[in-house]
Amino acid sequence: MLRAALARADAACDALYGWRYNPLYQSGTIAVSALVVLLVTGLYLLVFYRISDPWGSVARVSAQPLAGRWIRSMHRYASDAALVAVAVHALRMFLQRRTWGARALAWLSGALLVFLFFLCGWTGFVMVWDGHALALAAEGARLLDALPLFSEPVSRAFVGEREMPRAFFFLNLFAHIALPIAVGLALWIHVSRVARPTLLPPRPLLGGFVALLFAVALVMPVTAAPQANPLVLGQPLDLDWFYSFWLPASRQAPVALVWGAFLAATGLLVVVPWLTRPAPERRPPPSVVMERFCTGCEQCYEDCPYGAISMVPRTDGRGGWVARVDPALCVSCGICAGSCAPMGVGPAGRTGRDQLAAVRAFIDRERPRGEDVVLVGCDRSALALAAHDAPVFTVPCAGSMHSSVVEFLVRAGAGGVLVVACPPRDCWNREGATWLEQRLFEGREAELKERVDRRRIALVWAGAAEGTVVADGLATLRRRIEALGDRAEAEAPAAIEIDLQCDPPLVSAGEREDR
Amino acid sequence: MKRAVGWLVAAVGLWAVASLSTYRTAVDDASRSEFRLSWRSDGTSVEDCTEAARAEQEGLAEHMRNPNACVARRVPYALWVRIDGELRLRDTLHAPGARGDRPLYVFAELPVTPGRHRVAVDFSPVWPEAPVPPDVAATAPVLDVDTTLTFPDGRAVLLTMDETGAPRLRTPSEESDPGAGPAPGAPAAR
Ligand code: SF4
Ligand code: SF4
Repeated sequence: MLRAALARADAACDALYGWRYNPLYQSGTIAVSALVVLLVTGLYLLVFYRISDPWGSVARVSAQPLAGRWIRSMHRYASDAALVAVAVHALRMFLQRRTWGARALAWLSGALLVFLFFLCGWTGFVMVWDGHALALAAEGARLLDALPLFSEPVSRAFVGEREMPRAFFFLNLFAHIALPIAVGLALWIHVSRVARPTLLPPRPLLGGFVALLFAVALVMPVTAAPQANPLVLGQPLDLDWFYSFWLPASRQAPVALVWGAFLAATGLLVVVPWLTRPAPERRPPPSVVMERFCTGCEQCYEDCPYGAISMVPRTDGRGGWVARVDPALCVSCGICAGSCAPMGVGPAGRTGRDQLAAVRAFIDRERPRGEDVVLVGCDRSALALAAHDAPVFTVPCAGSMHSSVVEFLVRAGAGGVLVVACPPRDCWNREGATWLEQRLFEGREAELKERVDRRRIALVWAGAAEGTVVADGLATLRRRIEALGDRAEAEAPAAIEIDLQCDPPLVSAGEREDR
Repeated sequence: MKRAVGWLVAAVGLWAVASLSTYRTAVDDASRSEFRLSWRSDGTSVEDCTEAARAEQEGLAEHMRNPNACVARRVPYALWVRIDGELRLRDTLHAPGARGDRPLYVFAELPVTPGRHRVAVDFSPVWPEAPVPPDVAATAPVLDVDTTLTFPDGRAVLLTMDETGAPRLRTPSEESDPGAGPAPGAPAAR
């Protein structure tokens, strides 16, 4: 149900912004953009912050009509936007089951990032030393006092017995500055297992995000709330519901319950990789290289979105290099199967050879005629595909589809082939959809051969709830094929030979050694 | 048109974020009042002296021999709080820390109905049965308060002890001057 809701939201945003700038697909990069905004605006605010007068110094910055006012507001709103973007990003990854196996490290470091975001936010709010800051600090102290850490309660610091010492604000400021360094490290770990990580959104989206933050900061500037006063009870607080949503309930609840809820939430986040991992018999196997077919062209090594493939010297006496998959890093996405012209690599049952066998069986079963358009897409798009009046050939991921599947369909008599893939930013296997487009239309290695008539082939990007995009693509391709009039004779499936040649290695063995 | 709607939706989204970012709310009941007690005190110590075993002393170098080995021991304190004659808190406080050598602290928050209340607080040592040297008994910090206080709506009244061991009352009106003396009607140190 959640997945269907997300698919509908994706479709709505695709319609408004186009898949390239769909903020839901770009949630991770938007979170990083927000971090950049936080860093830049934070440096400005730091210049004016005084630990000797925390509330006063922040109030003075907030009153600066030219810069401070909107810079502080942008800082605040960017921190909230970052949290929202992280929540969307985590939900996507969870619903797409991109949480276990080799991806577990990204999930766990993501959970750590969420924790660091919260810590960073809380220390930031405490810096302001208004009612919200005091409520946060006092509640944090109450929770800490339940642990056998200190010989007397930390809470005494927040009852009004004496003025807050500067050391407290110094330590808090230090933590607020040091935590972003930890965020940077965790982010580095977060993306360490993906090849070519994308950290920032496309420029128009980045610009739009910053411009909107600026506009909201101008229209709704954050004003200074009254200074913290420990002797005032029930003071209305300017609560940040993203970082402090738990505060009203926590203050009323017994400490053990709050700690229990915190530990349960943390535990749940941490065990997700194990909870979502399929049973061993249903777990997709890692990719394997069939060395006798491998020519050492390096294309799979270039294309693997998870850096799971390395090139190693051959040991079968043929000289040169051969691909080698590290099963611990492989997520079984199958992208390499689509990248290998001689069909020498891929997870068991999903290699180019397996795909060819499946498409032969499909042709025998469906016998498409000259006017038929065959829909080819991954089973995640089946929802979108099922509603259409056309034969459907499904593959586990369109990005892992070998181009000879398309060639085979056309040569076997299909009037056209409409490939339906998830929008590239939403490919469950990262770069699969991008490589697919380049293989079909831009000559990327393992390319669709020249002899295949490109006028009979189309590619549409459509998320699971974008049936209309598929319908439009289908109607357009049908019209185009009709306009072509004639068509080549269908070849007998048994007689179709697929050319398994690939280009020579991208770099020579000597060059590789220099790398 | 589509582009304009896109900008509008994004702006509304960020407006929602900004609204939830500073949402004024009361997380506490503003109509209640509270009597707070919070202070730290070194308290006082008595020495337990035992005649060291002769054999044990002989095992030590001559300059390290001490025929009267004494161990200072923190004296526990009793804390009583009565509000309008009702006993609201009674506790015996032992010096914290693994070796029981840290200063004593008092920390309590007692809800009270707003208005005037008679408040009596007693914080005094629980002497051991053995006789206590008179100078120790005379210098031990003691807090004994018996007074009538006004507890305003939505305010806490704090009773603390200053560095000299004298009681101090703090109410929100004094908040800007932490060094201010006792509030009007505050009890005197005994
Ligand atoms: S893509 Fe090239 S390097 Fe990779 S398995 Fe195929 S032939 Fe070998
Ligand atoms: S299936 Fe292939 S492309 Fe995908 S992670 Fe494994 S080795 Fe890389």
